[in-house]
Amino acid sequence: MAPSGPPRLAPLPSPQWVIDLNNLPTRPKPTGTTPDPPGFSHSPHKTKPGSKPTPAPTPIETDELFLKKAWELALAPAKSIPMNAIMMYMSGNTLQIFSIMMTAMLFMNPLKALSSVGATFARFENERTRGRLWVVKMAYVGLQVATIVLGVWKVNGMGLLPTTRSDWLAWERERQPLEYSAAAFQ
Amino acid sequence: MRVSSTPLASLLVGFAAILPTTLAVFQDEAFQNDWHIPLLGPSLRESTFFHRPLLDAKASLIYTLTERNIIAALHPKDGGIVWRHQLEACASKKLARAVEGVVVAGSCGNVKAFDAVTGKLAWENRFEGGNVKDFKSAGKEDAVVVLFDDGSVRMLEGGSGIVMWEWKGLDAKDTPYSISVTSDSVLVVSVQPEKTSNNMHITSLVLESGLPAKFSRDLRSSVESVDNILSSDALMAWTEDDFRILKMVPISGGRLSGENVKIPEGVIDIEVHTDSDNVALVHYKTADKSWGTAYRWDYEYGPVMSYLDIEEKPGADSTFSISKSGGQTFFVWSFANGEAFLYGEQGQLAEYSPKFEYKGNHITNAASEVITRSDGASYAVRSFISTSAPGFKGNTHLVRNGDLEWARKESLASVSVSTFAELLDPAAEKVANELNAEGHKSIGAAYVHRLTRHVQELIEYGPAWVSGIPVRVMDAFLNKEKAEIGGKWRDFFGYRKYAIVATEEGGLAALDIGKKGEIAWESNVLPIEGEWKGALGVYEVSKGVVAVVTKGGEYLEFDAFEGTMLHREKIPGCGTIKSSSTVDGIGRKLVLAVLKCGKVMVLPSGSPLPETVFLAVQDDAGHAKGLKVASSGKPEQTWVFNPPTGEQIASISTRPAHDPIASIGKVLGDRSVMYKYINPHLISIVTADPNGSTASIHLLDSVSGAVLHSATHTGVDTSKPIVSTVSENWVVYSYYGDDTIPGKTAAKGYHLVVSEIFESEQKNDRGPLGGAQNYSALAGETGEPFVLSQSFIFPGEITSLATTTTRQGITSHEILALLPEYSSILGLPKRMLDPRRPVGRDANPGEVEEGLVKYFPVIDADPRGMLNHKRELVGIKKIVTTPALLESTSLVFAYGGDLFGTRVTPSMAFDVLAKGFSKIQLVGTIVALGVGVGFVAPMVRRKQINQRWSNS
Repeated sequence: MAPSGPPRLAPLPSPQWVIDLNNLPTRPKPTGTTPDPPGFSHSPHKTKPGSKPTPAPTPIETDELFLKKAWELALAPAKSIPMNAIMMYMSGNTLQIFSIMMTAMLFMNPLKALSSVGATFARFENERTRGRLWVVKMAYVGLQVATIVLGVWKVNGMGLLPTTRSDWLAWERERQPLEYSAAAFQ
Repeated sequence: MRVSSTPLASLLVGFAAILPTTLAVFQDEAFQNDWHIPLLGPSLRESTFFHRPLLDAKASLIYTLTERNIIAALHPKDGGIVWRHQLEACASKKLARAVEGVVVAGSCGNVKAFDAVTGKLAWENRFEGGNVKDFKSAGKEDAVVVLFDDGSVRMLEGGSGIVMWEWKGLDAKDTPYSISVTSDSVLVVSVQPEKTSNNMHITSLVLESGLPAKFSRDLRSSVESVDNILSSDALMAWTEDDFRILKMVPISGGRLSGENVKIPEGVIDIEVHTDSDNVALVHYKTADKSWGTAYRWDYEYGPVMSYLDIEEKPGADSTFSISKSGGQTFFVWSFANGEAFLYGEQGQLAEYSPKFEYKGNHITNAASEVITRSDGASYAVRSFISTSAPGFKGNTHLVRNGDLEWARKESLASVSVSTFAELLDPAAEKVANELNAEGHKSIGAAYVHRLTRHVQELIEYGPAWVSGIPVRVMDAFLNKEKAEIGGKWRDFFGYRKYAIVATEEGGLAALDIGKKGEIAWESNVLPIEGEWKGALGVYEVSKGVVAVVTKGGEYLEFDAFEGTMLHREKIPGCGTIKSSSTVDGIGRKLVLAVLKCGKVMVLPSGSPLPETVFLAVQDDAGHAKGLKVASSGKPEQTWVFNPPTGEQIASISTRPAHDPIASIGKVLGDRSVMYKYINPHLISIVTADPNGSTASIHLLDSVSGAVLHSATHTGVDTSKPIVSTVSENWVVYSYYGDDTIPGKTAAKGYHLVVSEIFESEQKNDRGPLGGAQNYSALAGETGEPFVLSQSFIFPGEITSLATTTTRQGITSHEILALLPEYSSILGLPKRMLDPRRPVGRDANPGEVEEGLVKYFPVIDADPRGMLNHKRELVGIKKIVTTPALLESTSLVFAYGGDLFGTRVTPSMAFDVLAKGFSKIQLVGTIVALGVGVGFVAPMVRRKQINQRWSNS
């Protein structure tokens, strides 16, 4: 039995603009009258006649490529160390906003980099490269540490490291006399 | 700027060192932070008078010469000092008299004339051989005839002081006594001792030439004893026959047979006042009443005749003064109860009923000025009255027509010892009992107790505090001074303390050094019986209690806030007390008194010493020695310091009782440390050899007696003062170097030498004891400390040195030097006196960082460093310092003549806002900024939105 209830209305026909939108005319292909620009070809791959097709890189080659790229990434900080060193040397040991900011950067950047070593090298990492990548990582970490050392050197130059006797003077106590004396001259 | 990663304390030290040292007293602080009570001392009766500085001057000034050799002119209106001068000190008689336009003063062998108006030196003349005995105005052209105690008489020209004539013809056996001048002759009174009595001569000289007069009035009379002479001015008056007869002889008279008056029974004292002309008044005093008789004589030959009897009145405590005006002679009779009577030729003219009292004071002398008013029947009387109370001598008062106009506390010019008494903290005292109760409870109970106390306080004080906020904020804005809490409650910054001072006469007074030297109370430490010999020391023995040790052998304790005597005892033992000191007892301080016989008494007697005390004393032979005083009080000699042959101890100084050291080392430019030699037993002894012209400094350990360091200076003039001061690990001393001593020359001038003592010559080395927690001076040889010294030339005599002390010792020190030639106290930053200043080269960066500057041999007496700025300090002998509650501030008090007090901030006032700090400006700026932001913010927002829209 047909279900009772209000008569079901036929769905409204979609408006014209929806139909238009849904049936966009395909972009007309460029007419053959316009020549293709030089070097453009419609055919995806037209091997030159006579040349052999380049074989797809083997996984070993890819790994080599990955390692090479990883090394480049790992050694990048080495280039900035001399620059940093010169800048630090030039900025002097006085406590000013610029030298403080630069010195802070010297610690911030390496620390950030060190905290994301895994992420940095993740794209080069697979089962095969893992064994060789740790050397790269070590080099990377070493260079970041070197940058921090530079910062430490700078901070030391600023006199902020408790490395001298005077820094611990406040913890040294006056010697207490065991005798008690008084003077009565008048 | 260097910042080290050490904690706050050293940061503060660094800060204190970086801040510029005070080189000047700021203008807005001058006369605000400091106070000065200029004092003259007790006036001398003969040399105190009213005098018109110029013939046509309307008003007179009071001129006085005092026992402390100060001649001064006072304004009768307010008692202000018009001018004053310190004269040379001599045991001989000193005198001041008015001559036309100038005031002439004679002391030692010097005669000086000061312009009566300005006090400028008009002329002076110095004589060798004899001291001034008497002088008089020659009557014309302002010349002065001076009698010296070697018997010579000289007439000095007015205006220049050049000798016009000289006479030395006095019999060698005669003792010159006084001099008198008539219209044509000079009369010299001399006394020649005979077997049983003394012969009195009057020698007559011609005024014009100084030659003995042809018609000599060589009069002779016998005087039983020179001590019996009561007057020698125009009238010689003396008592004879065991105080039964009073003899009076006018010096100018032709006969020596003067008046013989029988002294009535019961008279215990007689004063004779003369007007230096032809009137004299004899004042008789019995135990309870007094009266007077006035005498007159004819200038040339007439006999002495009584012309006025002044009826007896009850009260012997009174004095007469004579005033001449308009050809009349007036007598003013002043009583200690404030009463006064005026007598003229015929009798009593006026009476002034007592309106005030010289509280507990006796009248000692007076000078008066009487002027007849235009109506001819009434009189204006002004009297300058000196009084003395037990322990306080020479306070002066001005009484005008029976009313007290002003008073000066001249008795405080003789303050000899002092101490500071801390005032009470109102906040701490209020809860002292509660805190004490908490201390005796368990933690839980104490917590509950404190909580309930706080809640109670909140209920009690909270509403008032909240309602008081607007007033407080407004007051803070307007820099309004808070209503000071007076009395025994200290102020917020601890600027107020009592200086408890003892005078040479035995008075004890408390001065509030935070309130411009106001006197809080007065008392005295005079013995009930026996002779007063002087106060040895005043000490604060516990909160609110001060103790006094007298040379006569008494120990007294006083309430420091009220001045009431709490305890009095005769120090048992032998003889007088030589010296005294304080040591820590249980909960209070104990006083140690060193007796002449070598005994040491612990006071108050019966109190035990908590531990053995090593006491350093000076013995009669001039040696320093060490005593080991066991807890029973029995002394045992441990060491003796004999100065090198020929040398005597000139100055001894020890570290101040309160001498905290914030940092035990000195941080150098390369951040290494020179460790200070810190020894609480350090004493510095400067010895001097007058014959060899040398002076030596010896640094001793007062427990073991070990000499830590010695140095000798040659070419020292030992007659000039040698003074020293010690603090922390350094000693500063001063002496006068002379270049005239053959073979032992020194740069001529005053030398200021600083010696700093370090643990070791090596950096970063704590010396032989290393990091030991404690040490014993008796444990044996520990090696000598390393001493660095540097000498500077200073352009003036230094009679006393002191150093500032602050609460924590973080603030750098300032050395206070008393310069009598400059009438000033100079504050020298300790950094200038640093033996590490590079010599002969500029300071390298490391040294610059330390604050060292190139050594320059002369240290200037920079007027900007004078703590007293425009004030003139006279007669001061000693400077003492005490910390305020603020770390930056040290309180200074100077005494011994004038009284002076100030506050010094050697590293600037780094812990308190300056007076000129404008809170209104600060808040105004913030409010203006807020308003500005409120206005600008919507404008900016609108603009930004518009920009977005217009771009798209």
